[in-house]
Amino acid sequence: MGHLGLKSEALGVIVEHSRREASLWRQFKHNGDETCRQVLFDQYRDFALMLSNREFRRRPSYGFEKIDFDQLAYCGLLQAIDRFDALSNCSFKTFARYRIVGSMADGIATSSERASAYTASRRLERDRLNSLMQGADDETMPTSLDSLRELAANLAIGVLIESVTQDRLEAIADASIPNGYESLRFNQVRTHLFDEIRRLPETQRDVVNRHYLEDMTFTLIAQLLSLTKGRISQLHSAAIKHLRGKLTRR
Amino acid sequence: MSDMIDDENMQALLEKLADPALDDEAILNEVLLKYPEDPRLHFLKGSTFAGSGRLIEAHTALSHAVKLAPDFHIARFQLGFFQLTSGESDNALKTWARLDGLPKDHYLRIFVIGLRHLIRDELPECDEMLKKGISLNTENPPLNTDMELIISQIRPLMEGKESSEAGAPGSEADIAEAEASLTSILLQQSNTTKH
Repeated sequence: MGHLGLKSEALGVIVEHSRREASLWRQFKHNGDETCRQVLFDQYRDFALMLSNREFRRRPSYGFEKIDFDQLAYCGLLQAIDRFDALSNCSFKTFARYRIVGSMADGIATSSERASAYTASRRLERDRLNSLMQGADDETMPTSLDSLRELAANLAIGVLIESVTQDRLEAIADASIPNGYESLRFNQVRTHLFDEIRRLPETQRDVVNRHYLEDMTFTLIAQLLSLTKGRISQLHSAAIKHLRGKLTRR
Repeated sequence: MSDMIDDENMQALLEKLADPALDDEAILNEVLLKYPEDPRLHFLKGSTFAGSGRLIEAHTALSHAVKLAPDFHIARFQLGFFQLTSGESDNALKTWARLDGLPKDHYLRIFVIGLRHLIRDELPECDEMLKKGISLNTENPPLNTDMELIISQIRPLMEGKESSEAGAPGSEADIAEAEASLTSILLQQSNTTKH
């Protein structure tokens, strides 16, 4: 695909931003190219997060966390991408701003007390647990203790993936690495894991990155990739097992 | 009624389009009602849209011009160039493929060879071919301006330096210059598409 990741440094010099963006809208809206939809989402993700930061500071949160605002902002962004008329004179940011802010306002205002207790961070954890329990619960596990051990090991891989992002890594390194050798060892494992994530099949890699690094729920990832939530769960489970296998063999 | 606008009316049309007080799109739409199959009018419409930042419509109009006249070489070249500068290098290569049928020393064919080198980051070869194309092109001077702009844009890369602000792509002046040339090329090309 010519529009995704320019193939050469020289192309980066001559490609015009406005034409590139128009090309993405044209290929998504006219040709139904879902990949372009994802590129547009990534292109405007920071914009959605900027609005989320602002709304989180401004609005009473009613017990919601920042990550809940982020999820609602992502929902608004996806709706805006799907509904935007690329031939209109309106800029996408102007169009999307109302959708994103509206999504957060509606989401927070209409959520019940029960919903507020079930925050996005819990949904992320529940997504992961459900996905990994499918694998840990199969008949190949001799005892329930083995199943539990399997589940714990897979969840640990998820914790390690989260540490791959630099800011999270620094937090962990400051708090929990007791000595130089272990710190070095931890970094080696992290680097290896980072390499293995990059080698995952494209869709699995996308699910891992979006879930662990961008804090997107399986439901949102499913909407973005036009897959079912169940399929996202399967891809997540397969990726974690693959990564665990790679780390175990070291 | 002829499918193609005659030279006299084409010249009158171009003069109208050069008048900033008139609505280019309305003028073109009116003429297109009479000559919907004239690829040069669609090419002009694409150029007009590109100039006003309506880039999706510009692509549609340029594509339609090439569809109507597959051997409208300059339109084909410009469509590919539009795709290339939109980040669609694969589509640009497909669009340009037919230009391989041009004579070996035709400037458009040489420009395409140069731009293929650019896509592969083969910058000295790109530079050489674009300069060769410029030396061969005597019928469309505005196109040489576009290619000289590319040469100036890749020079910092060839020298291993960051591009300066003034030479950065997409500056208002660069875009205006490139789009002006798209239209003015038609003045040179208006007779070459009739077959």
